[in-house]
Amino acid sequence: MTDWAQVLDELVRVRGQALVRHAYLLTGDVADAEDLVQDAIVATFARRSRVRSAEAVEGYVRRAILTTYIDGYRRRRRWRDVAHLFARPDEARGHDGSVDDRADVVAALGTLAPRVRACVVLRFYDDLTVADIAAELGLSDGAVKRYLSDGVRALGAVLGPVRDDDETHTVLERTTR
Amino acid sequence: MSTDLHDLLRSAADGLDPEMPDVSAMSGRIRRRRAVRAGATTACVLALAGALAITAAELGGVQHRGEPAVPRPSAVTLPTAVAGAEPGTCGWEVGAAGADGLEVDGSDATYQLGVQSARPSDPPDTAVRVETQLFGTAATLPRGLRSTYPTAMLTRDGVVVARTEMDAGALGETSPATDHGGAISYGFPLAPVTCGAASSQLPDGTYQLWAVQGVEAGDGERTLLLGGGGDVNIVAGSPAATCGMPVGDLPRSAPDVDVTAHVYYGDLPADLFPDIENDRRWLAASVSVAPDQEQSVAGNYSGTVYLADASGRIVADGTDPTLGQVVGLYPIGAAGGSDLVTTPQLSNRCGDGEKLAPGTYRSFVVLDLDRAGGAPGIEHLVAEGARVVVGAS
Repeated sequence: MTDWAQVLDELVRVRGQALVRHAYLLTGDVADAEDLVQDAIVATFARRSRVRSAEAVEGYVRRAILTTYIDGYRRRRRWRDVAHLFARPDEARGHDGSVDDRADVVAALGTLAPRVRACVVLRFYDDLTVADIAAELGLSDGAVKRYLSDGVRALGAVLGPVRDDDETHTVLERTTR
Repeated sequence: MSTDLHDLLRSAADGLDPEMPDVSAMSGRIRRRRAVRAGATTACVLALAGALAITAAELGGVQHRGEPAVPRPSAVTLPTAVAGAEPGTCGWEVGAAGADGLEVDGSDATYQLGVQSARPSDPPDTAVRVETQLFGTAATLPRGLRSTYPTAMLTRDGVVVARTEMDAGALGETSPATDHGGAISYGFPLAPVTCGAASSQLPDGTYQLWAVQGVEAGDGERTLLLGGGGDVNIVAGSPAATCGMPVGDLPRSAPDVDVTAHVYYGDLPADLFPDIENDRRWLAASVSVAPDQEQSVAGNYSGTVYLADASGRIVADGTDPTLGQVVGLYPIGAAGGSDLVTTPQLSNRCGDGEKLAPGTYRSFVVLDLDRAGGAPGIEHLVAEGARVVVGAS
């Protein structure tokens, strides 16, 4: 087995499902998430002449997931095209804070523009800081804050009041002055 | 009472029990793509070696004879049309059916094959860099679609005079994107002449770049797709840069399409591109396309960003191949589209590769449009973006 094949095997075995879960929040569809992860892994391993370890390459795969998702969004926008049919602001339920249905959350995420959605997932699922998100996506800190602000506001419109975090609160306060 | 976003997203994702990605399938695709990349590199090296050998022989001959260097007439005789030539082969008249009756489909009715060229890599060789992408016209590519490798061609007067040496191969799963409905993409060098005089240099002039690619849908229907048709201006064996050209001379031929562009210029995020020198800058663009009249603007778009100085002369040419085109190949629907994703692009001064001098530059995006459902060929749109201020660095 070649070096990269060994790393590939380890990456998939140890981190494969985590990568798919991460991708699922972006795509809103499990099959699409699995395809997205596979594409990202293939692109990463095909492009890089040396692949040292699963830990080292996971970061590249995650970036490839993000760029493939955002870049390819235009070609795979079917979900977003129909998302409003599943969750419209005037039909949002769970204002008592009982929103726990996966379909609701994913449908709400589906109303977000791809970059906004990526920022929300990186912040609230992967727990990255604004600065880290900016680095991941090649954006400025200000742009990330704006996207997070927009995302939180849009999710709140669909899901009801949502509690985010201090960092995003700061963003909201700053951007609404 | 409100809901915590962290908890919401975790509960949505962590409750999943997705299938583990198929390692064996991925391994095969990785090996195949690595092989293609290695083959492309080898082809570049061979082309370069051939060009160097010819150049050395020519220089040696001149020096040996002691004659002054004078322009040499081209030793290449371009092939003429060959009756019954198979699609994609030398002498094929673009669009003609093959001997086996397999029709060539340039209608873009179901699939569209986008083709674009770039200047060769640095150091320059004698190849034209070609990128192709296969899209579904009205929908994503069907699951299980099989395809061959694309064959790229340069034509003159509608006849193939140069083509890729790479075998199209058998129909097969040639891209991971096939299975999730994206696009099937390739990038490879086009050896300058494989018709008639191998390794010789194409005569300077304007050629058209085309590609064919075989596809087979799940129902077994086979089609040979034809795409491209854009001009490639060859000078000294390579596509010419547009350095020094007045921006007013940029081609424009699609007046029914409104296009607006936003051009960005800034630091290249080194952590995203570890192989690129950190001190370089990047240039990128997003473009919006809309119909000017009630006419579909659906098609395959590719774009290039240019910067012009105060006199209107182009000083930065987005066809620099180091990181690829500024705007890649993108399908857009009938009603238009926007927010084309940007791609980092070096913006060093064309011609000598030096950094742009500090100052304010005008930015332009040229979009090549291959209309869906239209006649094969390329139209051009030009949009001016915001001024780009280049500071001292």
